[in-house]
Amino acid sequence: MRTLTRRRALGLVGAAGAAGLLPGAAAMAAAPPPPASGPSPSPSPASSLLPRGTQPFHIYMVLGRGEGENEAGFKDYLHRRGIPTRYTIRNPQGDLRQMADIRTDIHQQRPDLIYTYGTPQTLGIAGPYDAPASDGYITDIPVVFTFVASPVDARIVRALDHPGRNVTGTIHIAPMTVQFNTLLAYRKISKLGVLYNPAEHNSVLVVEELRREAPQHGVILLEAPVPLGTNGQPTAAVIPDLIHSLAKQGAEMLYIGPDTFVAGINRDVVAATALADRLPTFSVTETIVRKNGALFGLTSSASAIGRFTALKAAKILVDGKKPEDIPAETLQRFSILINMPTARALEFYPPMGLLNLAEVIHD
Amino acid sequence: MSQRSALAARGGLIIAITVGLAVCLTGVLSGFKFSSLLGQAVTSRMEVMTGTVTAEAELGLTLGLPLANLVDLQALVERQAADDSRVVALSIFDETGQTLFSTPKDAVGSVIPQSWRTAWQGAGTGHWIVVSGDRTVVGTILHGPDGEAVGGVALGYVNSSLHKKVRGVIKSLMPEWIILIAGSVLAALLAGIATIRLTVGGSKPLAERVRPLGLRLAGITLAVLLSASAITAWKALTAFEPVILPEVTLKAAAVGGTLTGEIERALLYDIPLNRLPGVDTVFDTTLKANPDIAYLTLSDPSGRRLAGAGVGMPDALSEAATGAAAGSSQAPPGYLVTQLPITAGTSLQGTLDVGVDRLVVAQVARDLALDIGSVLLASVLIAFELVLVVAARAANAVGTAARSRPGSSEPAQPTDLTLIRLPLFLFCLSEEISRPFFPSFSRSFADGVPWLSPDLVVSLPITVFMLVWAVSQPLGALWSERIGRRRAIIIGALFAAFGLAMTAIAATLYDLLLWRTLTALGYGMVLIAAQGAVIDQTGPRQQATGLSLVIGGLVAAGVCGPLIGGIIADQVGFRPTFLFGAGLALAAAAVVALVLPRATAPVKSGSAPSSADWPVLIRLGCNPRFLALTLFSAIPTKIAATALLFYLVPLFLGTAGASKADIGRIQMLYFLTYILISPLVAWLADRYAAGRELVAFGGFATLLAVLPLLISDSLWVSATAMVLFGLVQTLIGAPQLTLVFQVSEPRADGSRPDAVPTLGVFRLIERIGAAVGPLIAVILAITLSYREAIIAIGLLCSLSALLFLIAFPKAALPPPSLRPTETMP
Repeated sequence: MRTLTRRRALGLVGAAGAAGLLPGAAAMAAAPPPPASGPSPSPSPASSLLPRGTQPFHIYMVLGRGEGENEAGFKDYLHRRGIPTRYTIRNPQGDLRQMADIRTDIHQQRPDLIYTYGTPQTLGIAGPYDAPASDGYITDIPVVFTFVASPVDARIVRALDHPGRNVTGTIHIAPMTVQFNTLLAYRKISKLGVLYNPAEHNSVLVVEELRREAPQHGVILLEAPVPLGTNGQPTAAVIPDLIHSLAKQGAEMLYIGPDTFVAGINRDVVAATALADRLPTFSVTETIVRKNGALFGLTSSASAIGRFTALKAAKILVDGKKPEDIPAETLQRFSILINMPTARALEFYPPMGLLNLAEVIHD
Repeated sequence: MSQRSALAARGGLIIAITVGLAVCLTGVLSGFKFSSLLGQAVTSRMEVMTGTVTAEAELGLTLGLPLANLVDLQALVERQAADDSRVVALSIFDETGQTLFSTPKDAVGSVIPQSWRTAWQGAGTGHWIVVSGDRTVVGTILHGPDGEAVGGVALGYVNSSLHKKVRGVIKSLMPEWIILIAGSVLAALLAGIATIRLTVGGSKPLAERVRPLGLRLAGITLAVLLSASAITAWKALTAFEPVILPEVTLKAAAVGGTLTGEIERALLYDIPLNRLPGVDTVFDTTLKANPDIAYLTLSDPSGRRLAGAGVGMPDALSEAATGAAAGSSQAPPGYLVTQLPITAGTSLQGTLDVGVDRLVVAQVARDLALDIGSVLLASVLIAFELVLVVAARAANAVGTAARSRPGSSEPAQPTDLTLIRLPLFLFCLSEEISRPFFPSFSRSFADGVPWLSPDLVVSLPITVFMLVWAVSQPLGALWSERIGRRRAIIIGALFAAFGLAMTAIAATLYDLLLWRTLTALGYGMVLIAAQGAVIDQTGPRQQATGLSLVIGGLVAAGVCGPLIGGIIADQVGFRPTFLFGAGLALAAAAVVALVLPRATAPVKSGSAPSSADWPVLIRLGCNPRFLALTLFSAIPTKIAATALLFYLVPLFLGTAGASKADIGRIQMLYFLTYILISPLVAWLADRYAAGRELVAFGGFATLLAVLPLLISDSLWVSATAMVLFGLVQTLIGAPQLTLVFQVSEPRADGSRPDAVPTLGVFRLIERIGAAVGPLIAVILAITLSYREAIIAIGLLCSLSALLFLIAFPKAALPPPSLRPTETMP
């Protein structure tokens, strides 16, 4: 029954998810297939209001790591709505020195909408909300961002429900309360360990949130910041010892946030050590669960986020709404990922209720 | 004695008719209740199916795929629909209304009907339903992970076979039921006649035997009704059970099927069945969502219990001890168990037991018992009152016959009064039946006037009604004097009937207000003309008794109306109930036209109580006692009455989840308390000359009465509060009237000619309070919650009571020569 759908979808999303980290062609190939049965759905009422022969909207994309599931979902949504679009894609590959060039290009081309992926890219284009005009940031063209974990703390917008400037977007990290509810739904634990890179601002913010939220759920937080070397960068070699120590202190689960160092670069050793120490892991990013054997995670499907971002874009382009009035939000439903081989290895099985809602990875 | 025979015949007939009607009503109620239970069983089974499809679709959506891409949903809908023969169609459509997946397959690509679209768009809780003829469509809304509606699920099934079954059951019950009605009517008739003949006659004069006669006849009515109702309900239960039980079992199987699917998925991931956590929690959630399922258990192939939840589970220990193999687990007595195997591949991994209480059908018994009990109560009351009146008439007839020749035709006198009571009862019923749901009905018009707050929208019709009613009283009195009481009553009833019928089809708030005005006009005219007719026919001594007839009709309607209205509205909806009310008003007009003699020459004894002349008004305006009484007691009391009874309490209970029928029953308690306690209070007030104290105490006690609402939302607490409130209002009512008479200026000879006009002015001011009540309730409800608003009004009454005590000094007031029994809520 449900297995079939998930396997099918897994095939699509899994491949694309992995490809999402790789730039270019591979990701393009994994775009969702056209509808298999029945006629294509008629355009929605909004776009049918657009007169025939309307000039396509010019959307300028500034990516972080190349086109992935997010962008595929974004483009597909607009396509289905019958909204004519043409894209200019810029992929600085994380090189922030290119930002000034891109801004100049945008000023010249004057697109109808700018799409930015990731906090550095968004700040590179739109700048903080209180930047002086002389800095040359884009303040007169609507910007929708995606894959920004904390827009307010990053000073991109003043407030989530009312950005108050030409920038709005979507947030891919679930609210901390939802994270805790999911975590505790798996097992009612009382001690949660967190391993993080204190040099990443995002991670520091997440740990602050954890500190605030944990007592309200009756959970004690055990913190393990990765020590910084003399160059101010974290040292990877210490990771296994940190995890051993958390396990010794009685941590019942390990929290892995949207931390590039922990959940990205070193995810292999993190997941493997946790498994060896029989420490269940909870993550808010999907790769470490899908590929590296973290136990479970609460994520936003990249495709769903892409569509959601496109929904906001459509509100600006077609409905004429202003970005300052469109709230920057998370999804309302998140994907729960459970890595079944890890669950079996730990003999730490998910409860039935959670299983019903989850995408199960079983290889 | 021919008088006795005549009385016996008439009294017996009245009892018999009342019993007959009551048994009919019981039968109709039972039929309604069971057929709606049957309908619910089927609908909820269908909703399990739509729920499964919805969950599956939304999971796919969460993964970020657009709805049209979830191609496996086609196979899912085909599989689901095949499971249940009643399902005619199952489809999934997108937000433009285009069908994406469907069985039958040829519906794919077509657009859903407009009625579905409207229902889908308006579905607040995510569920919608469209009924057309014998096809019912239940559906849900599909939301994407961003919360936007991306489509819906629709399941169509036929319910004609259901209707056929219900009709079949009713047909099979008919012959017995008719015999039962005939039997009870006959029994009541004979018993009534016998009792009357036995009680009346002998040396004691008839007038003194009236009360015991009434009590005995009430007792007979109760006895016959109790047995007849019990038999009716029991017969209905046993007849419907074999029809309802299979449906409930099918639904249990559907729920079980969903659960086994989920458990089998876990097995697919190689989670051992006995290591699967959280099964108890899922069982608990399922039981909460499906109260008609009694218990759920999960066992391994050897029969050992792995998880379970619910009441009535077979004892796990005994199973393990006997080592009973799967498939032979005994259902505990009184339960039907459906066993579903849990398989992985071809091997049996365990069993899921779904237990249903055989008496699930009897779960409806609580509601039914309450309804039947209320009907019994109302019938007994009515029978009691009617018989009292008949006997009183007979006593009078005996008295006058002793003076004139027996057998001569009587001039008017009390003949008309009792005949007024029935049509008046019917007429007041037409208005009272809408009381439990009127605020909710008004609220539904709020969308059309977004510039008004919804609370104001709810209170406006009530306020308009009260105001027009207040104004129509003096006008109606004068007018009915001119054109004749009978004509006035008929015209008023016709106005009201028309107003109610138009209310049933009202489209906007303005329509509603217009028709309420008309209805109020009719209502006021009928009441004042009826009171006028009574006063015309009676001398000052009988006036109070006569008026109490009229008022009795109103109060009895106040008891029965909300009850009946709530039940009807729950079954057929608000608007048809208004039509039913229009019918009642028409019936009242017809009865009046038929039985009331044409030209009634007034036996003048005083003007109608509500006409006021200027000198009286001025005198009253300078009377500090009168002012204190009206300002600090009458007005707050009436404000509390209308604000709570008609507005705040129904809305408060509605938000706490009470059904319309429950609200009606609770409102009924108010009137019931009133009826029961009123004579006692009147006696108290007189005995201890404690009018002032009682009135003040009543004001303080209003606050105490509503305090229970602070504690909890439960229906029982609200019912208690209502009873207390009725008690308090009764405490105030009779003494208030006594005081009114006492404050009117006495002449030197001790008579009080101003008494009647004073009462009239008092009533007028009271009605203003009644009209203002809902407005004040709205103002409070805007800033406070309903509960807080109720408490605030209690505080208002207490404060006013304090001021009243201060402003109304305690002086020795002579007992009034004329004690009114006229009291009105």
